[in-house]
Amino acid sequence: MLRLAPAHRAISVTALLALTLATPPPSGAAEATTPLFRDGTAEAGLAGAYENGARGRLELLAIMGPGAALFDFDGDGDLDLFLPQGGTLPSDRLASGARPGGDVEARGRLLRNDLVARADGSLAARFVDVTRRAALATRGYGVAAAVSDYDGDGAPDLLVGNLGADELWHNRGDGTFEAATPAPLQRPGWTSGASFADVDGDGDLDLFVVEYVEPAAAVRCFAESSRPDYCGPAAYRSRADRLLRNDGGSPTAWADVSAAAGITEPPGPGLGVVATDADSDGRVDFFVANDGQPNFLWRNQGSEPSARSDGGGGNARGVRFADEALLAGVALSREGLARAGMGVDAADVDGDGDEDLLVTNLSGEGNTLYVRQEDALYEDRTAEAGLLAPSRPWTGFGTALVDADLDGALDLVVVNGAVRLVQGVAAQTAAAPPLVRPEARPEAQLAQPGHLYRNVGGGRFALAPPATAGEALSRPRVARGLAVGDVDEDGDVDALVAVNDGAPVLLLAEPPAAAAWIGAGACPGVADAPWLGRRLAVSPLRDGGAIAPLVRRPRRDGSYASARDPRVVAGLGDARDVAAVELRGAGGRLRWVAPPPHRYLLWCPGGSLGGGSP
Amino acid sequence: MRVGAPRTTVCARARAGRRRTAFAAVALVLALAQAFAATSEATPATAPAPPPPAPDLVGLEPAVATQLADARAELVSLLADTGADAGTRAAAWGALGQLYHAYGLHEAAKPCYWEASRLAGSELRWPYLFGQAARASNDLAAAKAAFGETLARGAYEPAEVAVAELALAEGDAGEAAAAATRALELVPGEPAALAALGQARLSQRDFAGAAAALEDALAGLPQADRLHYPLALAYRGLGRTERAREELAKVGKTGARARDPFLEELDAARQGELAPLLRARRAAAAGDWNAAVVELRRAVAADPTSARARVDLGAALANSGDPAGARAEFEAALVREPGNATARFDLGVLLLGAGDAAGALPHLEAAVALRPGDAEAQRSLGDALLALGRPADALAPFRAAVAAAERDEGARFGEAVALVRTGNLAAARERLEEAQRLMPEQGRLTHLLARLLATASDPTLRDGARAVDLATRVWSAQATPDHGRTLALALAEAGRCAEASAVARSLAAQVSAAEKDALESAAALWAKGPPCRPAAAESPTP
Repeated sequence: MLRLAPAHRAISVTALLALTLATPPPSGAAEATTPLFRDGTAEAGLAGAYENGARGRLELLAIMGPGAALFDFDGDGDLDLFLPQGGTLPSDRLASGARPGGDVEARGRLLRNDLVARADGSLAARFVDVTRRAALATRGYGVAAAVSDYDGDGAPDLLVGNLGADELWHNRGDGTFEAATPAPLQRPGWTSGASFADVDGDGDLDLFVVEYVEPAAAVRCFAESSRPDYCGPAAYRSRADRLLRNDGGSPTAWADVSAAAGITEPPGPGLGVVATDADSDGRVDFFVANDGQPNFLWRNQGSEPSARSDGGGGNARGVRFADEALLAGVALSREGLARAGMGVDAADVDGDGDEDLLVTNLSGEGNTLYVRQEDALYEDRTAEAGLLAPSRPWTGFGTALVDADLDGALDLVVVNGAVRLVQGVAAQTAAAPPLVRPEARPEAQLAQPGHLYRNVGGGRFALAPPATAGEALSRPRVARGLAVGDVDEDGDVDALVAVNDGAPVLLLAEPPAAAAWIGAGACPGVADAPWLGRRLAVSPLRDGGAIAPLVRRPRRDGSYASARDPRVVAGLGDARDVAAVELRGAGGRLRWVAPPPHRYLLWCPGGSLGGGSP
Repeated sequence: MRVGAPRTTVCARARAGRRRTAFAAVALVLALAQAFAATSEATPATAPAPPPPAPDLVGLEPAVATQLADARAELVSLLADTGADAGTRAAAWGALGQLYHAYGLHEAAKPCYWEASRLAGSELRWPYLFGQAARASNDLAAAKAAFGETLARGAYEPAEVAVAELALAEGDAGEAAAAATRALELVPGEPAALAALGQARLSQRDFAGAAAALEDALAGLPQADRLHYPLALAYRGLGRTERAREELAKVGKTGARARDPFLEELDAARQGELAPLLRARRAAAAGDWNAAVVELRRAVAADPTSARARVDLGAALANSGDPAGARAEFEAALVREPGNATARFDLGVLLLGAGDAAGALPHLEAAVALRPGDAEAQRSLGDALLALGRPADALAPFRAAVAAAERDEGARFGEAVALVRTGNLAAARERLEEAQRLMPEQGRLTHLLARLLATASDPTLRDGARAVDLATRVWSAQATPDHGRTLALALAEAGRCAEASAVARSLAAQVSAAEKDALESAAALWAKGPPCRPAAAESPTP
């Protein structure tokens, strides 16, 4: 086998290679002696709370935001941050006679990452508010964020999901944005998540929008004790998912093809969405986590010529979807119970090369892991994976399957926060923070700790104690969104926690110091569509032989109301070398980024597969 | 007020099982104590009793708060009586625990159960209920220890089922299967135990074993329709996909629960109408209307003067397929509370749904007068007026409904129909265009607009090309004969006569004889070529 000494050499995408890596770290399965996440909020200059507009009321509308988006809006190679902002609830604005959609006191914030060097030479994220400079003037009550380069110009664009009309912001590529909201997004609703994906195979990214419920204010609900409490989704009318077809990227070139695509019935109180190819047919499917109702697995049936229509609002390419979640085994828990799905992720947790599904749920239910067995067939293996019992006390929202300790196996990060006072109080009994009287600020009682579940192999996870996960993750808060990405360019996956009643929290990953890894991303200026369809497969060498490849898929969607770093990282644990690095599903070439400490491979479309130069 | 003292004997069935050794009992008591200590204020067995927990009663309904405060005061008073024996004190502690438990105050219930369990060392009710409270508060380790303690004191099949369910949550299918098997030894054929056994087999990927257990469970309790889901998974695992699909079509929301006298006692711990009312509303939210009816009958029995209980019972009866019973309850509620807007609305909607628009009208008018901002009431009043042939009168309530809820599809549809029927076709088109912009996904509105654009008696309002576009969308979404007819009419209006004729002919095979003749004659007419515009006599309202 060929062994590469310097890290700057170009590598072949398909040839078998051996890469000399850094000194192997200690075994990842052992409990880390230092926390795997530390609080980097202050160092990064993050401050400023989300304004939920609750005003002391038990209002569901006010406790579901926000998400967050990590993306490189200015093309300088590092991750910037967008934070949706709430403000006055739309129902309050209407009640006070203000103009719907008019100026409000709060706006989403765009924070540019100006990496700075520490004394030891490592880089640190430092966020600077550039919202005004970037001309990003969001106006609605922000809940969710989604990112994609929908027009293929190489600059990632931003969708802000609101209580009310959504907003699509086109990235001009010069560090500024312009409003580009198409008509189908200008209708009032409650967008809780979105995923950009090429559903019709035409090379551009279409938009799948998940909506929650009709945002009716002042609905009253009660706990079993008869005490007033927050309502659940059953107290509201569910909204249907939506599909917008991208016909060229301009604001007028989006068509709402939801009905023709077959995704409007039944409606469902959706909160999480992730694109995945559930049946390995090469078409994009969508898994949608519904809150208190069966989840959806919208399987892409492809085009049906008989369904063609020449109307502007029709579905000219005839792509249709069918919900096959029940037979697939992902609609319900194994007992047949609809769970309160919140956040989602899709990744290979058992190392068999296909994508499994993870859903965060309500307190008393536990999170759900659906392990894929064969095409479009999954099994609920949550309990067997050791994830059910430890997650039952908590209400999970944002989530991500990431290799926190870079040992080669995907771990699970979940951030929590209750949605009913009774859950929050019960959970706090264990955590013992001071209780706040309901009439003061009820949402403060919803605080719950976040968790790291370490993948210990054999399809099992173990809840990491706070000493391992880190106090910063374990601290109770009303967490909602979770956006993951390498904000300090050190190869591990950091996490941004968006908090409902407070400021965001940046969790910096601290894997074992000598942990080896290989990452990959798209070359600067490359459009999203071709990159998001790829798979990175890294085959580490261990004990003299290659082990099963680590398969990582670039994606921006998943979690709850958030957008993640589209780069992928494969931790290599104690492997000293890799036998192969393969980029599946595309031509183009990979090359090392120079100089160190960057160890990402960059993929540029075009050219041959066989090698390249830095 | 004195809380009813719980029984100190266990049911005969619970006595029937084997007893564990004294050594095991001691070990489990210690485990229970340890688990309890991890979650609350542990009390060593020899220590004096702590004061009864006093949960925050702020915000509770006054009747509930009073009930809880009185019950606690009763216990405090009893504890002050140095003459009370351990059995009496245990019963009093347990009773307070049951009351807290019944109202979902699990953290307050657990110390009460613990103290009762400590004082009555052979009683299995208290550790069992401690386990249920711990499970409800997601303290699974404490629950497991408590159920173990229960079984150490005596056999109780629901505790074995609970142990099986906890083992399943921990991924221990072997222990789950063993506990379920023990439960089945106590009560052969118990559906809840069979369901747990089926789950254990699924966990072990023993699909044949899972199917057998779940089939048996359903045979014993057919109404446990939730079990069709794991059964479908079992058949899917066996490669019997079609059988799996059949089972999936039967999946409901009712699970299998073991008969559990101890948990049933909790219901008795609650007083008045509120508890069953709350339970009924939970059941209704889960779609289990039959269970809701049972609970609401209890609520009515507890307080026959309660209008809200009767209104809820009426709604549950209506949803469970008993409209006569529903009407009786609504009318009874209105006798007690004539100004109950919900009763007026529900009764009006019930009568309207039964075709009695005249009977519904006064109730819906009263509902609207009581709640002018209630979009559903306004819409229903409009529907009643339309049904009575009074479209001009229906316009106002439909418009009020749209003003209250601009995305109320039914109200917008009704308003457009009323406008058409009063001859205001231009206004109907304008309102439908507005609705179409707001809710393009609503097929009924799109269909009505398409029909109007194709057949309006005023030719200036017609737009064949747009009608074809809209009609094609609704036809593509749902290929019903009515949508097809509209598509044909639209094609004819657009001058696409041959296509219109072809669509009409294809539809003729799917409709009744009377419609068939009309479609075939239209097809023949259109086949002759342009102009082939539909006659104005064709109704714009589908």
